[in-house]
Amino acid sequence: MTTNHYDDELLSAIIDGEADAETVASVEADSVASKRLAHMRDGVSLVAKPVPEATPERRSASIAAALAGAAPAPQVTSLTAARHTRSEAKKAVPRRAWIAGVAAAVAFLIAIPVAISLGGSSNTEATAADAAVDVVISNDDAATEPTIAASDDESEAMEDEDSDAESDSFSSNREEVEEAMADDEANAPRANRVVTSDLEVANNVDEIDDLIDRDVILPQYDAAAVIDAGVNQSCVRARDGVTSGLPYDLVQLDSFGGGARLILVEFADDGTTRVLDAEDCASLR
Amino acid sequence: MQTLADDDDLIRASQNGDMASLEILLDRHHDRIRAVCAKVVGRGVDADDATQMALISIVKNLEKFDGRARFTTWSYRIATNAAIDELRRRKRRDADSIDDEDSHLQIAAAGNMGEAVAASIDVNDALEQLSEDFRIPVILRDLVGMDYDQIAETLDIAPGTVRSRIARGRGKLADIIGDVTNGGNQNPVRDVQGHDDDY
Repeated sequence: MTTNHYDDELLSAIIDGEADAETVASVEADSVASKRLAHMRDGVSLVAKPVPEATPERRSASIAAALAGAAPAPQVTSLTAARHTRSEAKKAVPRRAWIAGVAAAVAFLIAIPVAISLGGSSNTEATAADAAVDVVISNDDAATEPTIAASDDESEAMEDEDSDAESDSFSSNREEVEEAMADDEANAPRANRVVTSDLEVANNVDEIDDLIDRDVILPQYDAAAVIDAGVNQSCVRARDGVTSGLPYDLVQLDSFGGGARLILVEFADDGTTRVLDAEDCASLR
Repeated sequence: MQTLADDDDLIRASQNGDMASLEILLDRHHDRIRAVCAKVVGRGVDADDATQMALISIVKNLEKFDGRARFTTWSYRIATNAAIDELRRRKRRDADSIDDEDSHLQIAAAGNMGEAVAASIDVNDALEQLSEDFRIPVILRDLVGMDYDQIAETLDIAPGTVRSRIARGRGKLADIIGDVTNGGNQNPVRDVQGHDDDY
């Protein structure tokens, strides 16, 4: 707009303090120009008006996401590989339990005649019976050990151990079983703790496994499938490891209606599974 | 968390892998970056998304930051680009969703500004009536306080173009304010649309 011979560029220069005093005076003497200048100043004030601050949660989430991008990228495996190792681990455990049961029964059968042949010494008999019972208890415990998220190495180790158990079952004793259990415990995968604790809502392999079992995980790296599912796009995008360059393995959801819970999960080569971030997308709508 | 370390120290430490320094740096500049994003994109959720993308981009590119420009200028440039990207994504989303409630609100505001916001002008509504070409230089000048040369550097356009666009953007806002003040109900958008692909 031009007000008489004062165009907006001149008025804008006045606002920026770039016009000389004579020009300013002449504009202020012109009612149309001065009104226009006043409106332009109002516009400047409008633009300079502070914006509402982000919520503390959202602020922390943004900074945490950026920091996650700076962290060394962990090695990740595909969901398919993670599922494969998990299912292998599940298969291995029942077989292992069956073998352990047989071993315990055999040990028990051996222990009774041995005790009898030793002539009824109450002390010895108690020791032999205890040994048999100990084997049974120990193997029951082993059968209830974590069955999820085992790595390939662990699955193979389980298989190897199963073979060993079959060949050596007759020589099972308390020390060997305890040693095997100790090894199992040491090798069992542990979920990593999430660095951004304020965002952490889950860090439980069983929860992740449950999502997998219910087939609610979308095994796509690309968020397109998630978007197609009708989920809030901005939420997905904000968390999408593909566009953000973060080493997220997948984006997954646990519901599609009325809001979605978005979870990023990382499956690492060492068999660990961790939730990197989660947020109720409905709150961002 | 906050320390008295200046930006240069924090940047150097961050470039050497000091995550604590990086966190302080991001925390220190978050609000300024978000302010730019919020003014450019308008909606709160989109502003937060743009802010997050800007912070991620800052982290990813920090090792390339050589200190020739001030960190604030450099980060504003990233924030501006992130906000522009966000706007474009939003346009695609809005194009795909004709039932988007926010879009209806924007259309109503654009078409009937004086009547809809007679009592007070919503800055986002007003800014949305400016095309990116005019809105962003105005925001960088009147919100951030950059001088014309810094804006020119940030947007990679000539200083003369910056001056012209700011004047026209301010003029457009003056039209909107004048229209509301006078009780008019015509959208005064005239010659300030287009050129979205320049950035």
